[in-house]
Amino acid sequence: MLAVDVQNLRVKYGRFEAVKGITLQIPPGEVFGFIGPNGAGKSSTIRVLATLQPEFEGEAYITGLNVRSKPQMVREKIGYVPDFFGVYEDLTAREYLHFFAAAYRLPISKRKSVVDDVLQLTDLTHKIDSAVDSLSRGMKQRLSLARVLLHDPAVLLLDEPASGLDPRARIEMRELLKALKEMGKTILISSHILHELAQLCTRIGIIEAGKMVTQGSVAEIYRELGVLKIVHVQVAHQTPELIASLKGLRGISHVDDQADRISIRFEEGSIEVEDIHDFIHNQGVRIRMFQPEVMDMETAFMKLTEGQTA
Amino acid sequence: MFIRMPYGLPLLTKDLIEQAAQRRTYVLRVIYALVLYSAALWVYADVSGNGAQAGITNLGRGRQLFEMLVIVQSLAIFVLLPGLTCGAVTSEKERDTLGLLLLTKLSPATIVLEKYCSRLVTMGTYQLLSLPLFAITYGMGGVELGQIITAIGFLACLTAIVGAWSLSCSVWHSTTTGAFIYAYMVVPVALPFAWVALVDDLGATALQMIMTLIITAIILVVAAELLVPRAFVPPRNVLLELFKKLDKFFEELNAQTTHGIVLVRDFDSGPLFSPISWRETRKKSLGTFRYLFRLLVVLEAPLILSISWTITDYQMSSFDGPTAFFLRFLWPVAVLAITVHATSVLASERSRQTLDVLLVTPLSPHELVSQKLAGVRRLIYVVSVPLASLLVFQFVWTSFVLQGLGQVDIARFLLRYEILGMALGLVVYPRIVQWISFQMALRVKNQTLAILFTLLIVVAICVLPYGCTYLLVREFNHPSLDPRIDWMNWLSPIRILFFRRVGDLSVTEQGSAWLSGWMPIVGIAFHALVFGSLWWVLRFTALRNFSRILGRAEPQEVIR
Repeated sequence: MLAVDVQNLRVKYGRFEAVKGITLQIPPGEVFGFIGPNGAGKSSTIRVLATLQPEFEGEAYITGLNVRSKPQMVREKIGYVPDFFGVYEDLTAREYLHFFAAAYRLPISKRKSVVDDVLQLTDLTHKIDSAVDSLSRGMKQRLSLARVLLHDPAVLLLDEPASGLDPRARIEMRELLKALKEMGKTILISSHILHELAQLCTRIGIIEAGKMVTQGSVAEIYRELGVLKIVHVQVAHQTPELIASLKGLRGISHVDDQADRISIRFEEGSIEVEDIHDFIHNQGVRIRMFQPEVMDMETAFMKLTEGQTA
Repeated sequence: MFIRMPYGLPLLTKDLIEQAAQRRTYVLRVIYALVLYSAALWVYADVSGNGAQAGITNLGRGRQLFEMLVIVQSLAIFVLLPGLTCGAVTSEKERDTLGLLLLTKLSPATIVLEKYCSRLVTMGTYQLLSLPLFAITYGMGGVELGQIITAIGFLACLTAIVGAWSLSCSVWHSTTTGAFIYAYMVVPVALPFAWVALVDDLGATALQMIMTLIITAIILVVAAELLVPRAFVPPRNVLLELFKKLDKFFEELNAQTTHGIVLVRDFDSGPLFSPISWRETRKKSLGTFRYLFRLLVVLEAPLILSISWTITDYQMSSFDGPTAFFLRFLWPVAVLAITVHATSVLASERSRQTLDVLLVTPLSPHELVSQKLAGVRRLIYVVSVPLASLLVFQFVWTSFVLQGLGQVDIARFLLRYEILGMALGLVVYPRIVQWISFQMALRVKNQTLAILFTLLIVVAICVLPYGCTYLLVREFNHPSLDPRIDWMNWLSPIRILFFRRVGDLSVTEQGSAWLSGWMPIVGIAFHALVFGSLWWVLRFTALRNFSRILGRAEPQEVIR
């Protein structure tokens, strides 16, 4: 049974059609990244799944439950983090979590241990009695994640959870999501931090103007688009012969001799990064830096989209 | 819109465009036009003659229409302008855009002035609606051009000063709700002055106009000076601060007198079963037993004073006294408090952006609504205590007075009436206000407007029956207390709440048979039926439409 199943979803706000027939299936345990420019229809799709958009066409299911006919049961299965901090600033972190534990009808006997667990998972145990108002932006976002974990939902719907966070907070958030992924949660996440999504997600869907442009694994999308990967290399004694030999290597598309590095571009699947490393090493050159660019999602994104909104 | 200035008027332009884009601007304007022209038509029909000679007989009869126009326009300024203006600056604060404005080259004085002008222009559009009517008035005769000019001057001055005050409230307060409440405080202060000017000659003298404009200028200068210091002031809960001070005072008093003995200890078990109720009642100002008790002490103290004053200073033949005044003061305050609180329950969730988070919990619409209103229910209980105390005293006092006058039958009647009336007043009416406020909060995102609409509906419910009676009395020349006409007054809650406190008894003494008869009881029964049904309908529709309006999916069977 699919964790998330959306069939030909259409969402209209008056005459404006925000989502124009999106279809996506997410198996259990998968992390699905939803990428698209602002106004593409990501949030509208997530709001349908979060039971916050009653007017829509098509079908949407969460763990087999129809969002339209069984929204109450769907709410038990999902954890929704909106694209803003939904936190009561007049409460402490403990009160905030107990508040939602009661709202999700957790048995009283279990609440304390569950709250302690989610605080530990989100690394907020030391802030348990701090006022929510006093927490940093990153902590508030982690507290929001702690909230949605209280009732142990099968599916997490995260609408740009890393937006507005500083680099440290983003990394902490990414690590937290990795931990949740390992716990077997199905995660639907939308974000603008593209390379982070690529690191985290098992599959990605790119949406523009209310339509799904493409979806698949990161490697599949790269292959489909012919997107080039890049490796940045610094060597101790760079020679023109090294550049020439690299250009001649099978699978390499382009070699840029830049001021401080050599940038080697190649197509996904045409050559392995390790082979490039071995090749340079075998040339008898001492490698000072060898940095494969994590993902070139920006390129894929720019190639697939035209910056249109729905 | 093209305003040609060396550097433009960006804020004024932006505000005017914003207001022009809002549907409510036009809805309010149409409603106002309907009220104004209906009133004008009524007065015109009243003063104009019939038949072929109507044109001649109407000559010189424009004065009455003119008076009505000035009065309606003045009332419109008091009713509409504070509401229109109080959000001018606070909305920028709430959207975090005031800081951005202050970073531009716009000076605080420019910001204040442009905001001020944007509201005056809007109010001006309301006042322009009356121009054709002024022309008709002038055409009918009986009014001189000078009188029209002074009346327009008076209205302009009134607009200037009320607008300036409301804007200064908006500058001072951090929330629109706070500014709204204080902006309307101008009404009891300025209304007597306006009334004096109206009674005098339906206009203002040159000196009065100059004085008004000077005061307006001073208010605006002060507002401009305060704009920066008050730009980033965090919202204050004045009531909570007051309670904290009272708390400290009582604790010191307790320590001195009883060495710290506490009879009822407050214990917060946390949100065990009804989390939203817990937050509404525990985390807000009226949370703990201690606060509630002290609030009662604070409310009951002046009440006891007024009762003592009534007993000692007033003769046994008088029904009125400080308690009657206190009761008339307390009811509007209670209505306002319930309205503000009930409209804030959703507005606060919207402003904190926590509404969606709450809506995705498995709580049913009934649980969400019921728990959100827990704080309002508690407030109703709190205000019911002084109201009940006053009503009981009024009943006892009037009974004494009547027995002293030998009117035992009327005293006996009062007992029946008072118990039923009190039940209606304390149980049904506050709930009606609560549900109207909640319905408004559901439909209108702007809390200020929700408050305004609620109060307009409440006032309409209270005043319309009297208005209809007045019309009938005028139209058919009936004596106003003829039971054939007077029954209509019984449709108003005011009649139920202030019966015999507004002179009914002294008049009905003439016909005690009628008084001890069925009319008041029927009135109460009618209210119990109609307002009880209204309570049920408002509650039912709020629960039914809650999810639909807030965009929450519900299973089909719940929606039906």
